[in-house]
Amino acid sequence: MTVMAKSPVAAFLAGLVNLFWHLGKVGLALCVLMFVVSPWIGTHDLKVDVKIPVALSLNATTHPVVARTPDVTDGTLGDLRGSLRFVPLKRGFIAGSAVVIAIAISLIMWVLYQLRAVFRTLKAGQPFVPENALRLRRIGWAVIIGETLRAVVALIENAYAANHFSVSSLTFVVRPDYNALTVIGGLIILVIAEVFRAGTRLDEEQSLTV
Amino acid sequence: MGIRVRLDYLLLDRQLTLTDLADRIGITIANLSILKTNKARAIRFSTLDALCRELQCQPGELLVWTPDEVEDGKAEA
Repeated sequence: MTVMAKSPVAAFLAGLVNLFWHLGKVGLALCVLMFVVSPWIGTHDLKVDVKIPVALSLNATTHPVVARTPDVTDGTLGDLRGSLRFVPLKRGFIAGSAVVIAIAISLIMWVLYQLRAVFRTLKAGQPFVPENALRLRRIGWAVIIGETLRAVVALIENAYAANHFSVSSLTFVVRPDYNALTVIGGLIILVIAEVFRAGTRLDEEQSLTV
Repeated sequence: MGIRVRLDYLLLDRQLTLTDLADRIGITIANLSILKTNKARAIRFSTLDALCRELQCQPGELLVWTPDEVEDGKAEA
């Protein structure tokens, strides 16, 4: 187990987690700053542009997709996704965005906190403890909940774009963007956590076998 | 678990110390101590074999089952 602690991969991952942890702290500080200065944004030439994800549908008659080779037929473009950059003039938008970003960073930092705790046990040469199984389970749920929250926020941003903007030949649509792969990733972590929990029990028994 | 290891009794009877026994059977004192204090969850046949050989006893003399054994600090009903 102590060999694992000296592994360069483990050391690299621990360093990466620590780096993201500190970046998260900087991000949180910036969010607080953004929230504090939000009343002045939009006035005194202090303008901040934001970027939100959008879903679009294209008018197929005005934008036909024509085949260039004889081995395919003409096509249609659908389920377009992109990002919309604009300057919001309503002060509440910036403050709200700061809160949403702060919540997202907090969730990520909570996951990093769990990972740091796991790496501490790895460094101490005792990674097979029941607490690590619990930490892995928390991470799995955080991934699933985080993806759900992201999808909800993206849906709200889609609705905002559809209500506030229009563009010729394109229509902003409100469409859920739930990433099933991320959720499956979360489920995999939950399964690994259960395997780990069983492993810690076996390790505990093994350690008391003479 | 109501299984008790009577290692302390057998050591006293054979006039051996835990260190002597550990040296003879090639098991660490820490592991023998786990056995002696009844903290062990399991015992390997190889360990049992070595203990019986050195203590000149049968497994039944080393291990006893007691129904009123205290487990995890709680008395069984």
